Amino acid sequence: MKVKIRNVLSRQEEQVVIECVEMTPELEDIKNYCLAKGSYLTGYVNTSSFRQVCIKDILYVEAIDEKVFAYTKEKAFEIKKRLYELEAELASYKFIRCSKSFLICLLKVESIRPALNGRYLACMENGEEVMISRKYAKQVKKTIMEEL
Amino acid sequence: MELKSILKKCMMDFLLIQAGITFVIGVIGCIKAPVSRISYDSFFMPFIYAFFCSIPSFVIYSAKELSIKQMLVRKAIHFLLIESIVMLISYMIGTLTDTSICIAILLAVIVVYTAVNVFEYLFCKLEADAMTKKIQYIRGKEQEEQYHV
Repeated sequence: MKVKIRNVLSRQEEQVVIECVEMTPELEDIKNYCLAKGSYLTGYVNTSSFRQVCIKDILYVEAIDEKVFAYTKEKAFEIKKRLYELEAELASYKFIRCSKSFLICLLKVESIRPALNGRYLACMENGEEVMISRKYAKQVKKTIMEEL
Repeated sequence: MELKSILKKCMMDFLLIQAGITFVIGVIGCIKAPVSRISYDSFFMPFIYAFFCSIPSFVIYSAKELSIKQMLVRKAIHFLLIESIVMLISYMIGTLTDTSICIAILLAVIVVYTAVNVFEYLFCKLEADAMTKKIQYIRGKEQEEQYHV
């Protein structure tokens, strides 16, 4: 099989193109590998056990005291990073700061409804609601309407 | 919340209250005294009411994020303050001549307060619906793209 590498100018342009007669299990593996590459976070279930959490499965991230937790549909994992670090790291996955202690994945939001006093509630895929505070509401709206 | 935002909100409240009071004066006047004439100084009344009714807006604001329960309590205090201020101004200028006027003014405050909050909610709902629509569109597009990969 031939492998071609072409240089591009930005990270956004990076891609892997598979040209094939038909998809085989090997090519399926390559596809899954490419899709998953670089998109995992190390999530701790407790102090000793950890596993790789696919970023695409994370609905939102919450900072409680000094700890940061990532929530998937089924589980919560502690992430050993600061919230601002994750904010920068996950920006390309459409995560945005929606309040002082929350990051939400805009692609995992089912709906948004108004709460009192200029705030909003984002209903996530798992049915949980995350508050979009008044301070961040403007930025969230701008991101959704203009940059998403 | 920043001071600038608070002042902006106060100004919005001032204009909304003023419009609401002008409307209510017109409605009550048409019902209670349709043939009476009013003097030019009456045109300043909505400004006076709106100015003093905007002041309690500071009750709603807090530097830290309030819970929905805390906000509801503050809204109730805000409403009671406005009701008291309106009654006090009406008493001072001698508008409260009989019980029916008192009841009409009390009801008018409830109507204006409710209308202001309903308008605010509807405006936010419009924005929320627009955001939901855009998100659903993007999610549909993402799923389509993933399907084609």
